[in-house]
This record gives sequence, C-alpha cells and structure tokens, in this order.
Amino acid sequence: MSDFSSALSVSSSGLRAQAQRLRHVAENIANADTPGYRRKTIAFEAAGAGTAPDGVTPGPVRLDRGPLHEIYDPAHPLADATGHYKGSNVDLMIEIADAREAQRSYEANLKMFTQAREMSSGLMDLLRRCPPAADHPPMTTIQRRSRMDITALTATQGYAGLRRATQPEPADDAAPLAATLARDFAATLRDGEETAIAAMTGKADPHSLVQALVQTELAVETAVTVRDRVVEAYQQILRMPV
Amino acid sequence: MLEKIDLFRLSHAMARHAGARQAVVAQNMANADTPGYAARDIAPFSAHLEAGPDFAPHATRPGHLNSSLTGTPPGFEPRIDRTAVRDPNGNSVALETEMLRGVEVSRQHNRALAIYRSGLNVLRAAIGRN
Repeated sequence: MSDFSSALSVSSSGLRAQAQRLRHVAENIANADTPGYRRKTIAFEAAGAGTAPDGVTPGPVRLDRGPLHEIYDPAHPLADATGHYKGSNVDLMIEIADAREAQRSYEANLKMFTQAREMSSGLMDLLRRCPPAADHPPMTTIQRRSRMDITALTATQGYAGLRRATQPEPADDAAPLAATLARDFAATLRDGEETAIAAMTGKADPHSLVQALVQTELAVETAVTVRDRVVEAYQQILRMPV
Repeated sequence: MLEKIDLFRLSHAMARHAGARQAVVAQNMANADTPGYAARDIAPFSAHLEAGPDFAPHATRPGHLNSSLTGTPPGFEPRIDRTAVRDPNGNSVALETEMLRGVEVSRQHNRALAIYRSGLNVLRAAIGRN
C-alpha cells in the first residue's frame, strides 16, 4: 500500500476509534444515575505487528470493576435496611476529562487526514498543465509552412535525380545519437505505461506514478520538438537555391 | 531518459520520504491513546542523504556541477523513538511533537514538489521555441 493511502486509512482508523470512545463516554454520562450501572471503558490496541503502520483498533469493551457508589435514600424502592442503595460508579469529572481527551485526539487525527489529502492533491497538481496557449505555437507554424511548401517540394523533387547536392548524406555521428535518443524515448514511454498500470492496480506509489507520467509527457515534448526541428531543417534545405 | 537527472531523483526521493514520514506521524496520532504504544519516527531526509552511500553526490570529473547518483533510493524504515518520555500507561506519543513533525513533513513535501516543478519548467523552456 502506498504512503498516502496508508496515512489516510490509519487516520480514519484513529477517527473511528476516538468516535467509539466518545460514544461510550456519552453512554456512561447518560447512565450516571442508573442504579447498579458500571461504567464502560475501552482500551485501544495498535493494529498490525511490528513497525508497519496499520492504525488503531478499539479493544473489547470492559466494565469498570470499581465499587458502586452507596447512595443514602430511604424512600428509594431499592434501598436496603440502612436506607442505602447502590448507584452507578460513573464519575462525571472523569467522563468529562475523557471526552475532552477524545475530542483532542479526534481533531489531531482529522488534521493528519486533511494534511495527507492536501499532500496527495499537491502531488497530482504536478500533472496539471500550465496554460496550453503558449505551449504549442510551433506545430501550427510548421503545418502552415509545410502546406505552403508543397509546390516547392515537388519542384525540388524533380531536381533531386539530377543534382547530387540535394541528396541526403547520412552523417556518421548524427545517426547513433538519434538512435540513442529514440531508444531512450521508447524506454521512457514503456516505463511510464508500466508504472501507470501498476498504479491503477494499486502496486506503485503515487510519487512514482506522477514522476513516470510527467517524464513521459516531457519525453514526448522533446521528441516532438526534435521532429519539428528536423522537418524544418529539411525544408530549409529544400528551399535552398540550387 | 529524464529520471537520471539528479535534481529530479533527489526531489523524488525527498517527496517519497515526506510521504513515508507522514504515514508514520499519522500512525502515531492514531495511537495517541493506546496503552503501551511506543512512538515511531523516520530519520530526517538530511540524515538519509548523508548516511546512504547511494545518495552521496560525487563528481566524476573536476568541474562537474552535477553529481552522479546511482542506485535506487533506500527504503525509509520507521524506528521506535527511544528518547520520548513515556506516560504512566506506557504510551510515548506526544501530540504536540507529532503536530510539529506533521507540519515539517508537509513543508518538506511542498518544497520537494516545488523543486520538481521548477526543474520541469526549466526543461520545458529549454525545448520550447520562444
């Protein structure tokens, strides 16, 4: 499980546990005047073994074994010969303090939950593009130029058979460089795909996913730019007066 | 081809570290009232940076500004914090400390993402035409 989703589930387990504790406190306070009522307590237990974060589970509900309060009320139907009856063993002061602590811990867990969500959304913001208007002017100019140059292209093609100057000469050092670039590009695309698939099936962490996606994007941009430059250079060669 | 750039690798590792530490802080917070629970923590990123030989920047040629990082970033293992003071019920989580760590982690994460984004912007500007 990735860090963010585990942080979210751990925080929500804390929220659940504190809410259950608060419910038992409410039960105790409501039954503060019930004769013979023993206050309920729960002790939390850390879930999961070792240091792996797995959250918290509320343990089993226990009854407080402390002595019940003796209340003097001879008119009470439960009163014994001395005029006393057994009330509950709820101490309001303790319950209020417990409720305060539960609230404080609940808020802390909520804060962690919000923070994990903010961090995760900040990470996803990396994928959001800056305004696309400034990004792709080159494509349109290239397209416009290539449309205009069709006649020039056909005309130069006629020359091509006759003039050796217009024939492409493969440069020795450029070819391996371009091949490396293309191989790198293909590898980056494949990595990006694999990481995206792993993330969708819940195996990769969000950081790797965002990194892979962003780098794929950048690789494609680089490849497109290189392609544009190559096409442009080729067209400039074609336009060369021969 | 771009994951080899050190700026990206470092900021990626920094963001991952922040994420892992955040999970540990959340775990501590959730167990703030668990009897006998010992608080855990992951060493700060700078400690990982100095300790891990994989992370130590080294230049292969004089005049290299860039370092060459090899190997994958190490896993960030949570350790039990022995210095924390224990409550009578054996719990050693202090909500205030965890709060502080949480803020620290969130700032580190934001910082790492900002560095990553600025690196991306620089690269985009480099391949852009205007």
